[in-house]
Amino acid sequence: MKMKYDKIFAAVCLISVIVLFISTQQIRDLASESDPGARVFPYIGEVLLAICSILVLSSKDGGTESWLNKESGRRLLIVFGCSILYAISIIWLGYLVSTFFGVIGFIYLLRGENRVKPIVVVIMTIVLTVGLYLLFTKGFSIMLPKGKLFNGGY
Amino acid sequence: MSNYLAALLLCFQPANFILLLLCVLAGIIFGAIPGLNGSLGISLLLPLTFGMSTNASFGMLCGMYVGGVSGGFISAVLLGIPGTPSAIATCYDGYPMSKRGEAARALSLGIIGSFIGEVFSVAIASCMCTFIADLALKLGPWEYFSLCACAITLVAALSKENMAKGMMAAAIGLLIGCIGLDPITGVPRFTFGEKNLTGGIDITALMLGAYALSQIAKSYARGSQKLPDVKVDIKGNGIIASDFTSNIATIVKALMVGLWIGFLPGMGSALSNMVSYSFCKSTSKHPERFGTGCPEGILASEVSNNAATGGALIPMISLGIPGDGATSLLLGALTIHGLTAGPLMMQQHPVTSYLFFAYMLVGAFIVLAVEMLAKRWFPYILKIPYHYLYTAILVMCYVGSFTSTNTMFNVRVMIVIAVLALFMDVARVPMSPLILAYILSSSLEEYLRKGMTYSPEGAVTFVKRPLSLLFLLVALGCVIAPVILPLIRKDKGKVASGSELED
Repeated sequence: MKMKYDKIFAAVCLISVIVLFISTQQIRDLASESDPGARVFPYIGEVLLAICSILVLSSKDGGTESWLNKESGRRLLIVFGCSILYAISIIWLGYLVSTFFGVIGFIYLLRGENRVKPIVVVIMTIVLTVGLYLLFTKGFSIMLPKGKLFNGGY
Repeated sequence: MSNYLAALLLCFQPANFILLLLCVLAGIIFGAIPGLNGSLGISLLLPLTFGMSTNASFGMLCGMYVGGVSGGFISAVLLGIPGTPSAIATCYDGYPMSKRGEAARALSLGIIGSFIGEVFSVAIASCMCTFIADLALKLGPWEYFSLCACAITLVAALSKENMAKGMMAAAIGLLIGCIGLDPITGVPRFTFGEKNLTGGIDITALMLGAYALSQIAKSYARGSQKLPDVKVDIKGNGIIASDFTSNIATIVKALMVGLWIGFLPGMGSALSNMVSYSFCKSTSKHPERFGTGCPEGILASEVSNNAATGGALIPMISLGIPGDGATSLLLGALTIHGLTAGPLMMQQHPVTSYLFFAYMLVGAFIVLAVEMLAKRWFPYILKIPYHYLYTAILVMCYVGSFTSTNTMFNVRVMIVIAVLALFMDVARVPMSPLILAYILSSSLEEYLRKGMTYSPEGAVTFVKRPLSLLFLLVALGCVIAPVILPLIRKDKGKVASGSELED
């Protein structure tokens, strides 16, 4: 399907430039005489982005061929929805509980029309959850979230 | 030389060697499976390296890099689908040869071609690096600024579709790099009151979002998650000496093309295999054989894409400018471990600098051994179910982005970057200029401001110093050439058609 996603993207970039430009003006300028200051680099980026966005917006291309359609858009929403849900559950339930259920959920979500054996799913879930937990907490001494419900903080 | 030997000895330390071996294996698998690649593998490994020594970390990352580039030819030969963009040209001759019943021969050509490209390019690169780093020590912030600007412009200008889109991506990368405290005055920029943003956007979260999460989301959304079955037989070792002895000229040409393209900032293996294939075809005595399953075609592609990895290491180690997407990640890994690539690193940490070359060299030998021994089982790699792989990658993304700063904020950043990457993909805006600009943004700003502060003439010094001017002119040429050249061609066409009418 041909849609002008590039023009939509350029329009979003142009709006972002306006927001960033206002934000750049609020940056405190502590620069000395010879130093151009903390604002100059953001200005360069904003000017460049604005020019390129205008060029893309004004080009006569008939849009870009894309894989994004109604069905793939719905699938994207599902996968990002699940990702966000998983992230929230890590905060509240901690790594171990949320990953155990998260892995099962992701396998069934991503399998499409393929068949999965429940025993393989269980083994994969346990190995992945416990393996990563041990690798980080015991191997690298990096603590993984314990969950607000169990620990007060993550 | 003693530093090189010391680096080689470090490579062979049991723990480092085992990690290198494991990551080479993982890299081959990531390279072989379409949809995954070495860059994705490196971004997944980044969080694992936080708790490890610098030497062991680089072994893992280099192993993934070497294995990822080499493994791409497996599905290209067996299925006619490139595992990575660096193996696109391998499909043209690798798959027809496989279909003819010579899969073992095609695989052997790919394996040995990859090995030749890797070993020779790394050897050349390690010699050139010292020389370039010595020269680079004489450069000031003016030249460095112009060089960084030139690198970003080159990548953006040579973006596959539209230069404006490439520059757009570079501008986004520069702006993302501005988030956090100003490197000189310490003033917060674009933090919008969020304390977590004062440290800037975390490189691990950015890489995981851009390369891993977005890739999985895209693959799921497209519904393209099943590969066709491999229908070719792999019998014997398939090595025919004459395939190599009669194609020495092709090997040398492909090696040089790969090395040069890898050396140019931002243009890695993905471009080198295509350029090398068409160059070798146009200069071959038998161009008609290309595309029919000839050994020359496989060697042209496989030698050059692996040679590009050695080429990409030259600007990364000696100048601190990444040669391709994967070396951007390696540069990020160096930063995580408190090192800054460039001529000073070559002086202050010579063994660490040579360690990259040593790992790549040893990695190439491991790839050769593993691929020759495991050739018969390659079809099984292509049968690994995507849903298990993607689930493991997803969980690693979350754990990785969390552990990089021990905050869930980074997980949010990763999700936002993944959404941005998908939006860019749909709009056909390339990702590599963004990554390169983000990686170079802090250096670029520092050099710009140092350059203006050090010289009483201010910004004029950037065009007064010859080398700086040269880099700026190259950058300008890259921007102007794609606009002017079509106009000149149009005019020539008009003149030609006008004179034909007069005749």
